[in-house]
Amino acid sequence: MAVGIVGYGAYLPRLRITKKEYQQAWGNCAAGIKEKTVMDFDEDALTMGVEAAKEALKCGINPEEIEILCWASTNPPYQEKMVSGAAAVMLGLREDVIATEHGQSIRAGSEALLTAWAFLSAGSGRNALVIAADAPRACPRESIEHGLGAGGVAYILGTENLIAEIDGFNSFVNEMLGERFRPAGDNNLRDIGVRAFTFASYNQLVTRALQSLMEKLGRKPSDYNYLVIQEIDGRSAKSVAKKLGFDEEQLAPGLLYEQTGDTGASSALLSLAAVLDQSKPGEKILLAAYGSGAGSMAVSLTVTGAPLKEGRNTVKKQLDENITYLGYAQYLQVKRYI
Amino acid sequence: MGAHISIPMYQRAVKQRYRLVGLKCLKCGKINFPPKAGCKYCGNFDQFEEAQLSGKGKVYSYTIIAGAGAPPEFSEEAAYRRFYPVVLVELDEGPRIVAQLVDVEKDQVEIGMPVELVIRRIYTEEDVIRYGYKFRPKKD
Ligand SMILES: [Zn+2]
Repeated sequence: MAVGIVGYGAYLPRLRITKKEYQQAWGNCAAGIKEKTVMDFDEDALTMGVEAAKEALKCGINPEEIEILCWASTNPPYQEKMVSGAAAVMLGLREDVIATEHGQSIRAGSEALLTAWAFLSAGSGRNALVIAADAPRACPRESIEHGLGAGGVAYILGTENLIAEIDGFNSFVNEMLGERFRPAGDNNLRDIGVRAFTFASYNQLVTRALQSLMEKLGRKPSDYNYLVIQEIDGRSAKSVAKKLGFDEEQLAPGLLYEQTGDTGASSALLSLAAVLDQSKPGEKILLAAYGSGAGSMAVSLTVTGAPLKEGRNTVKKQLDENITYLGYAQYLQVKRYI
Repeated sequence: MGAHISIPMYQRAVKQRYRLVGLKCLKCGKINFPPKAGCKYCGNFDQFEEAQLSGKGKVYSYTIIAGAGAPPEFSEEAAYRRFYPVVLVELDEGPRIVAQLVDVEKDQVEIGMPVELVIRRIYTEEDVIRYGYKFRPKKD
């Protein structure tokens, strides 16, 4: 039985701050962004995720038909308290929905996707809703803060009328010290400021996942129309793609970091949504997700041809339209840093 | 808005606040929102069924609240926004409800403008986040 994507939706908040604002405030911007997305004062990961889910449900699946709910965020509204119940009430889902929640790293979104896929493949339900939404935080005095954005994305998985089928996946983990982490009881992300450590870990794990999945499926880079690699900065994804022999045209449709910053657990799946927005039946997509500390996952998809909804709120539309720019002082206020 | 609402009271109305679930009067057919003990239109006290409202409507009237005039639980948000529009929305199903209008500049608010439901944080008290309905200009 083929299991895959029957609907999806993205949500990018309309507020933005530009690189220039950082340069004026701090003398430099440490992140490879042009601008990034910022949640409004009354938004959080739950409200963004619910917006994305409502967009995804426009594919025609009734909320009551959702039997599995997999949620992912590294910044849920509470450090401890379930999110699924609130999301279920907001969306009108059943109380007996099988719910799982993920969030130990920014790989969480892809973990939620594969969890939902596994439940469906095991016959535990017919439709699953995956929601990943995030807005990572760090101390504004630290350079790691400069690249942190916000966004949400949702997928409906099912077994009929597939937009894209999941052909295979894998997961790798390894102990990697010194890159992005958040100490227990702390709201702020940290790293030890050595980019080479982060890149070495990212490069090793992402490369391993991508190579091993292609090997397992008997494919090579040229068999794929699109490559999505979770972006942790403005350049690491490009560097890994190039080393593996993918070209810029395969990677470009999924690159969002320059306009959104790091959208945490929603990042890889938002990039996948941007790719699906422009995909055609028969095309193949290879995706790699990454979480610091560290782990990776690769997922291979084939676009199967269920038509995409006309007039849908595409990622591109949300990147380019109805935007409001903030000054740096407003940004500090809206992020509740001051 | 502005009056203290206890957690048990908020809990009882969670479906209304998170998803606009109203009560349809089975005598006169009208939808009551927010639901009350009796039908606002015909006085029927016992024959209702739950009704999911679409969340679509039009601005019936509005006012712009200046930051300084905001109730204490909104003071932090009001200090950031300086001004925010509060609208009386006439829902497609008939009921009129008061809520904040978001994703809009204050000079863009107009009577008759189509709006849609959005769920946002209303305020936080006792570290408990109160989510609820707001509206924004209708997309597409
Ligand atoms: Zn009545």
